[in-house]
Amino acid sequence: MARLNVKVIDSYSKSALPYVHVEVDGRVLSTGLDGVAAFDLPAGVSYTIKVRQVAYRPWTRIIQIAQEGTYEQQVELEKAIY
Amino acid sequence: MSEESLLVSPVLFPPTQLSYALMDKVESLLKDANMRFVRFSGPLASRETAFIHLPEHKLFIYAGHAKKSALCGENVFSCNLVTVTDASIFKDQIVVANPACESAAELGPATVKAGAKAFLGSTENMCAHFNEADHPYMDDWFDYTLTFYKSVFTKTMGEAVEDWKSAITRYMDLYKLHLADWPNADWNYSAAKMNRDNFVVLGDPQAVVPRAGFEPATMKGMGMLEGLSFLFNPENLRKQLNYAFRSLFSFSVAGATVAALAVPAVTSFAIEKGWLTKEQAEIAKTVIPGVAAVIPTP
Repeated sequence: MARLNVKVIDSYSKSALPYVHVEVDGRVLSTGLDGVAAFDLPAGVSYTIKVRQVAYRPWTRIIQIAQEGTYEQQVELEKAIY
Repeated sequence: MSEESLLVSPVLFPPTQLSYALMDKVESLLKDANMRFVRFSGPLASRETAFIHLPEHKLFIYAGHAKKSALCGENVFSCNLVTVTDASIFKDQIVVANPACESAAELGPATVKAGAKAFLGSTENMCAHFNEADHPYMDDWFDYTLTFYKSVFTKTMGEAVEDWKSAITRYMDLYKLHLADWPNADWNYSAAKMNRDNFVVLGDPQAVVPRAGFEPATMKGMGMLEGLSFLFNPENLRKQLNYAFRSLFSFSVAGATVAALAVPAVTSFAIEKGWLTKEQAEIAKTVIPGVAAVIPTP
């Protein structure tokens, strides 16, 4: 297994964003107060990460988890509301 | 030319860069509709500037950050371009806040209560869309928002809001169809829904942006006697007369300019060709300015 830590921050203030919806191929978590959502995933597979918060631009990427270990993915969300 | 409009479009804090670009297109619509307008952006999108210019306009358009009780302007920290306590400044005006968050929650009702004809805005957050690899969502947003603004300039405010909702619904249907193959369709569907469902017209949905010389909104729903009284009241007669005089004056100036250039040229040509008698030519040189200069006396 591999550990994927998705850290979500505001692109303007650089502060951590809690309670953000993070989805990795159907597995759904919310970020904690530190802005991190941690997933345990089988290695050797590519995954689609979707980060969603209504006030921010959607963020979608495909990443490759090649082997076991810990992976860090930082996500900077852009404000989308007025 | 119609009455002047005032556009305020901050540009510094994301995502106002997008609403600023949108307002560039709204500006073109205003030009196409032959409407005079003033636009303030950047540091000029401030409380001070707005207060100098606001009372002179019949239509106020704002695109930028806002909250329940205020339109922010460029300074989102003080957020005080116009607040609920200033609501009376919009008396007899139409206010359009799109895109702007929550402006119809407190500020909108306060402005209508203080005498604004209509206030168009959202009771909730309003979202921008962004172009993504899977689909140009921002282009869709431009399209549906410009559909709304076209209607604002040509229809009643109620119809403009209906047109806005119909245009958004078409895009929502498209995003729903592509939820499986467009990775960002889900968020954009929700954003469009939020923009659609919470946008309202407060005040008079029959209000229209007034045009110089006549006011169709005021005529609507009047009986014959009321209509006649409206048409012949001194203020409207003065406006009509002023409009007619300006038109006549423009026509006279154009006619005089053409005559001043054409008559000497035609006369000189006629003298040169010998179409006029010697006496007629002498008289023409004396009374028509410019002819003597062209045809020297032998």
